[in-house]
Amino acid sequence: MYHQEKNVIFAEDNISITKLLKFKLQKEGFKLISLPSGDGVVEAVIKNSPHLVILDIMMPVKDGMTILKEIKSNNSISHIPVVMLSSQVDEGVIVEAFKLGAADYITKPFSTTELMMRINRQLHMVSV
Amino acid sequence: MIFTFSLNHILILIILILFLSTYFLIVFVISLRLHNIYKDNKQREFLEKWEGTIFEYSTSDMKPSDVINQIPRKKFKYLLECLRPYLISLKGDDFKKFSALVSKTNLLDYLFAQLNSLRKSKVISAAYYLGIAEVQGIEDLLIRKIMGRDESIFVSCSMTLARINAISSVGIIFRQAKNFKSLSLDTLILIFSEFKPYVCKFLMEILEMEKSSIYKIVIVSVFRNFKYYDGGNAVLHTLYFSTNQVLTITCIKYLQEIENIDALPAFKRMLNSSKPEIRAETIKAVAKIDISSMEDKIFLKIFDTDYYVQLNAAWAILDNCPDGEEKLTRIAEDPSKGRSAEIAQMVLSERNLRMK
Repeated sequence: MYHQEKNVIFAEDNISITKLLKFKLQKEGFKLISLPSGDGVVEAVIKNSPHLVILDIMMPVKDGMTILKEIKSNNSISHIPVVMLSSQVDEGVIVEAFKLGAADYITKPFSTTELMMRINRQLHMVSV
Repeated sequence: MIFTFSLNHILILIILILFLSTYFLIVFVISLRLHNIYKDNKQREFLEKWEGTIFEYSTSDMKPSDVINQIPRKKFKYLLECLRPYLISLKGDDFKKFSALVSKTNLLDYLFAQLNSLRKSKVISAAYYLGIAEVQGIEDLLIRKIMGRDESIFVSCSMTLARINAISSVGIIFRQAKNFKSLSLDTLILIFSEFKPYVCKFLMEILEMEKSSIYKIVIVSVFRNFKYYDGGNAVLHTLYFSTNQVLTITCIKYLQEIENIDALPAFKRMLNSSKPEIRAETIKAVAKIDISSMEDKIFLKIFDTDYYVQLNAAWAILDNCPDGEEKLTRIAEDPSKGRSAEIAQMVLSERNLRMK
């Protein structure tokens, strides 16, 4: 499978959701690096060169939109697809995320099956 | 001498009372902190032991009762706390799996017992969990609860009725809400906005018969939250007969939201309202729906006596008229126009900043 041993960085302040996703992604053969806040996410992306980044928007220290902007303005990591996962359903926020270079935007409440499908689709697009 | 002696005693007594109060306050704060630490530790212990099983269940064919039957009843409060983030953040099959842990197991009996408890905090907590798990078939039980005199129980049970979309309870919630004088408008709007959008159809029937402006505001606000287009005519009718400023503004905001063209003649009249808040809101609505037939009238509002009317008019002209920038620039460059010129300058420079 094309997602064998793929690294994913997941920045989310809801620890329970992080643990559930870690459990589900590991079952699917992913390696999940989780961060409980926006602090150090860009550094972790630079250090680990993940295949994909999942970002919550409302996080302590640094919000997801700022992190997205920083990832997309750094040439060494800008190619990494970033999927936003947020409870913000405001059209303006979603449009802004896509303008900043988000590959996808998933609103909470979300389905882990759907999230998995979208992750796979992003990784497939990158591999193609 | 006697007087001095008494005064000393009183002072000593006051110091003693202050000392004792401080002492008890410190003891109270420390015991509260210790209680929280104890609770956190218990929650952590619970998660260490059971979280893995719950995750396994979420991806397997295990029955919900297979999981819950293993967990001692005295741990159910930690279990509910553990399930809470999943019930809030997940949807689809994931949600159904976690919800089944509540609705198809002993946990439901536990919550029913809590709901019937005499302790208010237990009732509120049980109603909350039944709501986020969207447990069906509990309408009658919750309706009985909202008929009581306690406002907090009314709010939590009404929220649960809304979350499970118990449409039959809409009228009852509305009637019962009138018994709680301190209940805020925002709380009521929040309750009705928790229903599925088709609650608006039922609220429309209530709007047609409702006399109180307060409850009309609640209904129109819920229509606005759901962008309920079919409420246009009824709200327009409400607007015509409104004598309450908040209701008028709520109606304008709703008609703006759904871009109701039929409201434009009413808006044309309201641009001359004696209330600046109504003029300011009307300008925003006209700008969103269709400014073309009222461009001149709105342009003149840049010279209104109220600051917010002027500001909204300047933005409306700049954003919606082809020659808006030119018109505003002329005002901005004319110092004799006073505050209008300042507002025009401000709006123009803010727009330039946004474009950058």
